[in-house]
Amino acid sequence: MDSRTMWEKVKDITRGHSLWMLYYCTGCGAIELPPTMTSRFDMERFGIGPMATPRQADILLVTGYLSTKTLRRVIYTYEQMQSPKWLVGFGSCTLNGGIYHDSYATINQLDQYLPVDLYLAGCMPRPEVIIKGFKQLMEMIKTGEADGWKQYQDNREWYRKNQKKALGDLLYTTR
Amino acid sequence: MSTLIFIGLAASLLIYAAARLSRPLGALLLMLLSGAGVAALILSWGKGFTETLPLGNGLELTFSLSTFNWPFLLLGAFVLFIVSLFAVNALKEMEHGASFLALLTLIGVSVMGVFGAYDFLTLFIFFELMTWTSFFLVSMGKTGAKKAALIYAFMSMIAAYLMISAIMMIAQYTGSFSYSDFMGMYEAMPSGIRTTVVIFFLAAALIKGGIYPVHFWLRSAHGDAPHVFSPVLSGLLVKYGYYSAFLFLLFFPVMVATKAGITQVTSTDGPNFILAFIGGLSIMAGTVAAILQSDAKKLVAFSSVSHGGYVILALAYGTNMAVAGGLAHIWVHVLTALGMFLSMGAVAYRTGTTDMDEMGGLIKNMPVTFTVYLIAIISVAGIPPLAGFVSKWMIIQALAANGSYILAFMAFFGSIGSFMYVFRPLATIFLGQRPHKFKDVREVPFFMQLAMLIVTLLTILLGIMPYYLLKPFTRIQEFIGMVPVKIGFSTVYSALTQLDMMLIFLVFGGGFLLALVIFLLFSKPTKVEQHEVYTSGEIAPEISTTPEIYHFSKGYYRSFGRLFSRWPSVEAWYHKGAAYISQFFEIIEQSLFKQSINGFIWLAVVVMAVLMAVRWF
Amino acid sequence: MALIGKIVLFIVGAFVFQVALSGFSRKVIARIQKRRGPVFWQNFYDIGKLFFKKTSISHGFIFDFGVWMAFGGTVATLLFVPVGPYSVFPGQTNFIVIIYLLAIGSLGMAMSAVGSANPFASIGISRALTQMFGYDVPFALTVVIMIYVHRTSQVAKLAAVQSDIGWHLWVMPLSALVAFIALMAMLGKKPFDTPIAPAEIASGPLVEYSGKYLGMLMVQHEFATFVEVGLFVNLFLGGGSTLLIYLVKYIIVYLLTVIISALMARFRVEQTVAFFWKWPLVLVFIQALIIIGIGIR
Repeated sequence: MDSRTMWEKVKDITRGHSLWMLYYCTGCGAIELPPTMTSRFDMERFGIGPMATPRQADILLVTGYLSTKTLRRVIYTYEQMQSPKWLVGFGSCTLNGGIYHDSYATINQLDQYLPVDLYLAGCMPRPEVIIKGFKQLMEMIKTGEADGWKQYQDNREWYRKNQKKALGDLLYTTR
Repeated sequence: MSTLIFIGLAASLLIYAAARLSRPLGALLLMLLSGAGVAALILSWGKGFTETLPLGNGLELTFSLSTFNWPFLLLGAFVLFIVSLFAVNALKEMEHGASFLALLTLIGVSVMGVFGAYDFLTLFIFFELMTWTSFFLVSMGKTGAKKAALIYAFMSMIAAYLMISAIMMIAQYTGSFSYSDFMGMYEAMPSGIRTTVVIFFLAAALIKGGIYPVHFWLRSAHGDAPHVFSPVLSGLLVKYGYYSAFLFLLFFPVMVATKAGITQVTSTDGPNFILAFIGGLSIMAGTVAAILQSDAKKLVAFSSVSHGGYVILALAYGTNMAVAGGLAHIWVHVLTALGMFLSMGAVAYRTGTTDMDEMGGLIKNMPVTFTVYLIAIISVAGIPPLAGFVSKWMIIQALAANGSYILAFMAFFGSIGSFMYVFRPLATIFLGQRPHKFKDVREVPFFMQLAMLIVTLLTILLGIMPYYLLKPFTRIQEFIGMVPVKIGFSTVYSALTQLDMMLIFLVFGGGFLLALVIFLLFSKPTKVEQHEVYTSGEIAPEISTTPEIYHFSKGYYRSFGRLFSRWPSVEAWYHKGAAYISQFFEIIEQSLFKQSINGFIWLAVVVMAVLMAVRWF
Repeated sequence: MALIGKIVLFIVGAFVFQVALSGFSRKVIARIQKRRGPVFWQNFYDIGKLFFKKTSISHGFIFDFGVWMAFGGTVATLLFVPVGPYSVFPGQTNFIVIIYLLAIGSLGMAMSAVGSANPFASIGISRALTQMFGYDVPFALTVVIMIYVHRTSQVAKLAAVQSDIGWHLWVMPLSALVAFIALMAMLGKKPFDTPIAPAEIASGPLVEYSGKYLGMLMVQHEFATFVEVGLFVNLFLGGGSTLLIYLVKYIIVYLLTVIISALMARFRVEQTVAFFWKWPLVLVFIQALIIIGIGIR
């Protein structure tokens, strides 16, 4: 049952219509973003646009595999974003490690370390999938379902434990 | 006033003695004296007198208090009041604190003498008193101050010789040193003599005021002087130059003209235009040089060059609007120079440096100093609703009303360029990342804060109520027979439009409140540590580095500086010339005085003899 | 009371109009790039979302204070600019007051951005101030010419006088050209967007702003745009005898800047300054000579 008040629904609708995206280009998947943004597929018509810093962004798009070194930066970046915020895992690598599943240097499942609101499966996902995925995320935001940021707050201990297991104890927390 | 001068001389001894006992006591005494001076001057608003002090041998010193010098006397007393208040705490670690205070008192005496003079001899004597006292005062500063003092003394000597030659010419022609005799014979004077006198006096004024081609002493003298004395140099002593410019550009020419309500000084074309042009060049050169400085006090020194340019430009331009604006700008510059130099002095008092590249993030430690600096720079940049806007507005109105495009260009250049240079200390000293070594810096003691806050308060009040800023100067205009600028309580009227500072203040305040309400309406922000900034995923503590490497301060306007890298510099020419001359004298030294010091003594004796011969016979 | 009503109407009207227009301009840019672009009320969503963010970051008092100052200063400036036949304070539409009041907004924002202690913000601000030094001087001079010719520095009067002599765009074409280029720099449109180069210094001054801070600065930017484009319309296109005419002129000028900006690449900052001190300044002085020589007709 929807327990949100009218005012909160209005807020969620504005949030759903304006998604500013910070894309973290760790892997090969980033190459699918330019066609998604430019005239062929035109992401901006849904109100989705690229942003330069995590402070301004609403969505963190992790495009591809994450080595432990980059995971650290992703965690810092995610923590510097302001809630409500959403994390989108892009490609198989973030789901289960993809073709790097047995590498010593990469992590396999992103949602062990950060709350992922949406996965775009594929190696790699085409722009159509990205658009479709974002449309779905927007619906989830409008209905208030996408609440990964809340889960991250509530289950901080668990996430932190996993993060430290992968990265060692030297993990600076920003927020 | 002559009694006052004797009191001042006695007081300087007394203050020296008191300061030997305890420095705050000496400073408080000086503060009381100058505070009494401020109060007496405010009470004597509208009154005036003239008195003479015979020296024997037919010579006499004449003093007067009148409408035309009232604001200047007030200015002098005010600056000394603020600075001595500041000095109560600031002198603690200074080497020669007691003699510093005694000399500062002598500066007070010279204020009375120069601004209160009613004849040229008095003017000159007290000018020299000021020069020598400030020579010693400057040399008390940090490393390099000795050389700065020498350059300063050298430039002052040139000014003094120009001035004494002009005075002798006047005396030769009129037979007396008095202002009134000079005014009486002004029209009848052969124009050659008159022009020479005016040019000599104005050249001296330009040197003293630190205007563009002869401004270079300001850089070293303002920059290297003791932190307590820099505000006096910039707030008061360059005003001596503006004052002599005022006398010869405005007071004498207009006083002798028919008192028929003129709106413009008689000769705006020709020489005056050249002088206005020099003022404009001074604005531009000062602005560009200030932008490229990395030492905070030198930056403020060059801003003084630029503001002196405004004053000279306005006075030389000579319409009644420009004149009122220029005179008001003198007072505005007093306030801003005090605000900027005192806050820089306060920073240097606590951190021991004025190099902007070393500091950062001091607002957390020194919020009051920051506020003072902020208000001062808003006024410097001429942003409403503060005092600096009024005078700049008047000058620009005057220039626009007569279609002086080139001068208007110069005025705008300085005014918009000032955003750049005033912002740099704000950004690199007070804001940004704070280095670890300044973690424990504290706010300055009470008296220093008080002195700075008085200046800030006055800047705001005079901005909102320009009546109190402009009234003394419109009264000067009435006194000398110029049509005064029309002012109301918070309004100024020009030929083109009107300005209501109170309205601007209220509207701005309203906008500010609106912003506050909108801000408070939405969710509360989270406060974070200074190193928690977006630096592309790197966190300073984690990669075990210090946060100050993320403080952008070095070469703040380097890209702008690249524009001027190929431009000629006047100062470089002077350096070249000085090197050439010293080479030349080295040859003489080599050939004549190689072995002993005796040769110098001989030379000195000969020079003295020649000088005495020239002066006495 | 009537005054307060007028003030509220001005602020709300400017907000709604300019935000809608800048949303529409995104559509225009999209069409130039063969895209469809967002709906024209997209910017309302953006601003709303920013204000409705649940958390935001503050870097200390001056970071907040600067934002208030920027917003307050710009709103105050807005009330001094005549919109068509209407102005909030008739007889107080002083040009010099307007451009210097606008500087309060810039100063507040600069202070706040540097107060965030982010190096990108500091670089952005130093570039913004440098660029301002470039464009403001020629722009101010174009207006000084007008002020001299018409003996008034009231923007409303300068606008009204053009119904007799024709638009300043035709009377002083060089001035108009210079002012238009300066307008593009004021709005931070390409090729003059060095201060906020997103790909280079992570959007410069705005790098640390989040949530309602960014929302307030976006609104402030829209107000500043309304003032700056409004000044151009008033000074060179004769203002407007009715509100509608004024707004039509406004839309044309604004969209023109947007279209040109969509076709341009970015200058370096010293190239910007060197450019403004070379061509626009020379053109302004030529215009001044022409006006002195042949007068207004």
